[in-house]
Amino acid sequence: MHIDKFEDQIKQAFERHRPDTDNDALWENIEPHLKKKKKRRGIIFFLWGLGLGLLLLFAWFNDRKPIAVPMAATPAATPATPSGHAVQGRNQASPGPQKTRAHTETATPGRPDHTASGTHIPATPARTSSRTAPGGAPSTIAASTKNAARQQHLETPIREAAATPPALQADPAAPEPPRNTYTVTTVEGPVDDRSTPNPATPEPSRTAGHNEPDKTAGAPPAEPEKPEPMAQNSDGVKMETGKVQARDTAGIITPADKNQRRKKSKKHKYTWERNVGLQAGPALAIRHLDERPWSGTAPAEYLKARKSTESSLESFSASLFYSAIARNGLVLKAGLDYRQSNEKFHLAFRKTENEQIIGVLTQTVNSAGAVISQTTGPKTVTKTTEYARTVYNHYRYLNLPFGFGYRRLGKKSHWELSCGADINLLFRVDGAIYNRYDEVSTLKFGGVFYDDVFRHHTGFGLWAAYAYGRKLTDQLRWQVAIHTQASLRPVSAPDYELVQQYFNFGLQAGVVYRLKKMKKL
Amino acid sequence: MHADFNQLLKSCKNFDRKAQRQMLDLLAPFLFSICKRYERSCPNIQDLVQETLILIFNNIEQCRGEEKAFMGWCRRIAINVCLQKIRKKNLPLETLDTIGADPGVPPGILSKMGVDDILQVLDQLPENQRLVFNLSVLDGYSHAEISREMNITESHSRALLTRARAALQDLITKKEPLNNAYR
Repeated sequence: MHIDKFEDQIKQAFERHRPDTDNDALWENIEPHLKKKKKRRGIIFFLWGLGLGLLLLFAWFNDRKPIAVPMAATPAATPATPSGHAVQGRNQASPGPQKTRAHTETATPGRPDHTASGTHIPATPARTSSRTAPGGAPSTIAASTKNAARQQHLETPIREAAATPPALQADPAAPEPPRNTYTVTTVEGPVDDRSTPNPATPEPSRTAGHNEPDKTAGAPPAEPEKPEPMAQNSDGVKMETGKVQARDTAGIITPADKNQRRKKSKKHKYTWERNVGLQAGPALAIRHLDERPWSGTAPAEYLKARKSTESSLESFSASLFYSAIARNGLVLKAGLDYRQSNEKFHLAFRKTENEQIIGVLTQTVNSAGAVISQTTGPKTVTKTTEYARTVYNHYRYLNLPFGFGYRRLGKKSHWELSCGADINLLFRVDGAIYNRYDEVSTLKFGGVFYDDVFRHHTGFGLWAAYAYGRKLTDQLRWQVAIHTQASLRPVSAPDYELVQQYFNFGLQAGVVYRLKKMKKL
Repeated sequence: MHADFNQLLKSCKNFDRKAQRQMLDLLAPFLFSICKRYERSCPNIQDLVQETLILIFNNIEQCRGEEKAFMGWCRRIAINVCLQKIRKKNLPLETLDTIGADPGVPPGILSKMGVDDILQVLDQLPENQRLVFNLSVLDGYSHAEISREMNITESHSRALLTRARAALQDLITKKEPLNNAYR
């Protein structure tokens, strides 16, 4: 109690004590050694994420066909049929704008051009074309009449051919007007490029302002169509609303065609090939072991001792990954990676101690070998002890890598370049090191010394890999890869005097199993 | 005050030079008082404080918590710096003699003594005893921690503390008549 009071008094005296200091001189001395403004690592991750996002966007749009230009609806443009009936039905019944195909005609000198003004494009959100009708007839009339005629084809193709208004009947003997140049401005929407015209219909499109089959646009993508309610046109013929059924010369759509179109449109969907893979192989861990900048010169000898006792870092890694590969080669990857570095710890040193003992100093021996006399006294004995220890320290990591890359697929082989980041889920060390008190310390997770030296997690890391593989079966491929990985943070604890960090280079071999095949276009 | 200090600490974590200069004004006397207990020579104290301040400012991100935790962290760094310096000197380990009985200090003596007087008395202690006394009594280290820092056994640390206490009390008691003589 008395002692405690005495110590408390001393403690209080020191706690209150604030000596005068020359702060300006102190500041001048320390300022050159202070770190500069904080580096922002977050920006690296942000840029990396942004890059990935842009790449994905690029991949998404790159896989689609040319850009859709939706046509604005013009309500006043509802054309009238020659008989005075307004064309009604699916085009007007369609709510909102639809994907539209329009052929803009380049005017031919000397020929009437009704599309030049652009006002004759029917206000249908559906696919429409405007073209000069033969004999100078307004193209809008011709086109709308054609629409009505086409609708009739839907129901009874043969009867409809006979019922086509006389004004639209083409004269087979009449010379075909010269074809104009077409510019395709929009290529989206349901398309049926049937090349075989209906023999029952004598090419009404050429004379009645039908759309030409679009040969230049290639195979445009189309969304799968849903069946829509049937409406009746002015002639009482049932017709589908909201869609253009055909745009070719025949203008006939059968249920088989519809199915075919549906199948075709499904093929245009963006699809990914999905793979799982398992790889393992040897690696080499390169260690960076240095003093911390704040640790001063004190641990230099300790650093030297550690460097001299630890050597030959060999490691291996095994990874399980899942990858999704887009048609354009973009690869998205994620997985689980186990990594182990084995470090050889070899300690061999001699310790010499001098000891004072009382012992025999001199002896007098007779001819028979018997001791006659001896003198005793203090003498120095030198004791030399040799210490030797060799163990393997195991540095184990469990990482969660994710990233992106590019895959080039050949007939039988492929190569892939990928990179990304990883998150360390677990980091453990098992073994022994030379501690700063010149002793061998055993390291085991949970031990007293462990937390002073190593972290439990190493945080984020970066990785990159190049892989080459060949087909084994339809679904199985073998693959070899060279890879590199580095943790951004050192494995040593923040308060530990030394910085210990690893960079891994390695080779992996394994198999890749395809879960889902990419659909062919 | 606390809000201001926390703001200052935040700025220091962003390596703001102005904030660091202000923080130095707050920390320097505190660090001097710690280093003074471990080191006798004045130029060496200055070096230790400088080294401590560099370590504090360069690793300030690692300090989590507010004023109290920060001051504790700074104290720890200062002590570690001092211990490193002492270790470099290869502190000789003295053999343990029989420990004398606790003579006790007459009440009221310490209240008459200033910090400099106490420091003078502390300086008269052998190096090991002074170190253990500083660490254990003034800085609140456990014997396990002291044994680790000084590379000695816990029992040795306990023995050194007992001897330091006894020697200190003895020295203070002897010093008292001297102080009175001046008055």
